Order: sequence, then structure tokens, then C-alpha cells
Amino acid sequence: MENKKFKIIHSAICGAIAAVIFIVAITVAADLYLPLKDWLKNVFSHHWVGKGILSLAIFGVVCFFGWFLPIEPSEEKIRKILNLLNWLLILGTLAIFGFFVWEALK
Amino acid sequence: MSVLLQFSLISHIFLGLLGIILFYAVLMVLFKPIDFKRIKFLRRVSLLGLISFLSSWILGGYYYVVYYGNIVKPLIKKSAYPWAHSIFMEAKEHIFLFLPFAALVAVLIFYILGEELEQKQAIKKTVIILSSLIVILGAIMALTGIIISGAARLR
Repeated sequence: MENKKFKIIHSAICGAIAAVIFIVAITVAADLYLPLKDWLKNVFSHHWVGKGILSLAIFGVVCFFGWFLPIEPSEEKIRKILNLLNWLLILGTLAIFGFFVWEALK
Repeated sequence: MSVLLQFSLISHIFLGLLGIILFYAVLMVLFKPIDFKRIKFLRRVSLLGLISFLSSWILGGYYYVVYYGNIVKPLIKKSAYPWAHSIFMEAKEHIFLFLPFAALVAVLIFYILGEELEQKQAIKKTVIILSSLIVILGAIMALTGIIISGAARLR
């Protein structure tokens, strides 16, 4: 029972990590490579709407497949992966701020 | 600006602030031992916080796509404060996307682990850090919002 609980939490954290990495990557990539931004606009009506919808989709897909990963999540593994999410939230924020400061100054 | 857009903007601000306040309440309770009463509070308040962030996302997104991008953004970019958009709005609109995912993880942990969270101190400590980050990122979003609306008024 406990293993099942940990597995659900582990899958959700994996999904959140994938979503955060994706948001940072597509934010930088779409500003540096304009055809990607145009594609997001064409498909989703607005690039920001596209980033939001795709990040939700990535969260869902990674959560789903995370469930089937052949790992046995323990309390220590949950702590480690949650810590990784915390660090990614900090680094992702700094990366996005840094990128737009760099873009504004260049 | 139409009444619907005014409603969207005001609700976006209100719900965003509400989300921050609710997760601040979650954070304060997490510093205490978790019992049946407190886990009930954590579950309800964190879920309300998540709903607030999701609603703020949808309403702010509607205002941003329909009005801000077409009317306000060009005015700010032509003003003496173009950085208010090119740095703060650009960062805000993307960093905000982190919040619902981080909040959802916190909600799931409270619902799934329940009172067991008190025995799992290693997880509890990292949830405290996660909740702190939600509050800090939310506060950064609120502050950048103030800078952007200030630039729009002063242009």
C-alpha cells in the first residue's frame, strides 16, 4: 500500500520536473529560433497558450509513464526527487530571468 | 476595456494573491506537528490554493492574449520603460507556469500521505521548502505585476 502511495507521488514529481524543464527549454528555444515561436502561434493561436498546453500534456504523459518505471520509490527516493524539483524551480526561475535580461541588454 | 476584460484582470490579481496567502497558511501549519485536524486543513487549503492559481492562470491568460498583447504591450515598449515588458512581463508569463505544477505536487502529497507525513520527516522538510518556493515565486509574480502595471500607468 505504502509503495503504491509513493509511486503516485513519485510519478507526479517526475511529471512536474519534466514540465519545469520543458517550460524553460521552450521559452529560450522559441525566442532564439523564431520558426518555433511561429509554429506555436499557428497551432495554438498564441505562443504562450501553446507553451501552457504543451507543458500540461508533458506533465500528463510523464506522470503516466512514470507509473510504469521499474523503480521502487522509498521515502529517501521521494525526498531526493522532491529536492530536485525544488532546485529546478530555483534554477528555472533564474534561467528565465537571466535569459530575458540578456535579451534586453544585447 | 470591456467589463469582461476588467473582470479577468481583477480576478487574475485577486486569485493570484489568494493562492499566495493560502500557501503561506499551508507553510505556517507545516512547521507544526501534523495531526488529523491539521492534515484536514492542509488538504483543503492547498487544494484551494491550487484552484486559485489555475483560475488566475486562465483569467490572466485571457486578459494577456486578448488585450495586453495588442494594446498595453506596444504602449509599454514605446514608453521610457520598455524593460518592464521585455524583462519583467516576459519572465512573469513563463515563470508563472511553474506554480500550478508545484502546487499540484504539494496537494497530492497532503492527500496521499495524510498524517503519515509527520512520521516521514525527510519528505516533510522538502515539502516545507516546496511550499516556501511556491510562496516566494508567487510573491515575485505579484511584484513583477506591480512593475508592469506601474509602467503602463506612467508611460
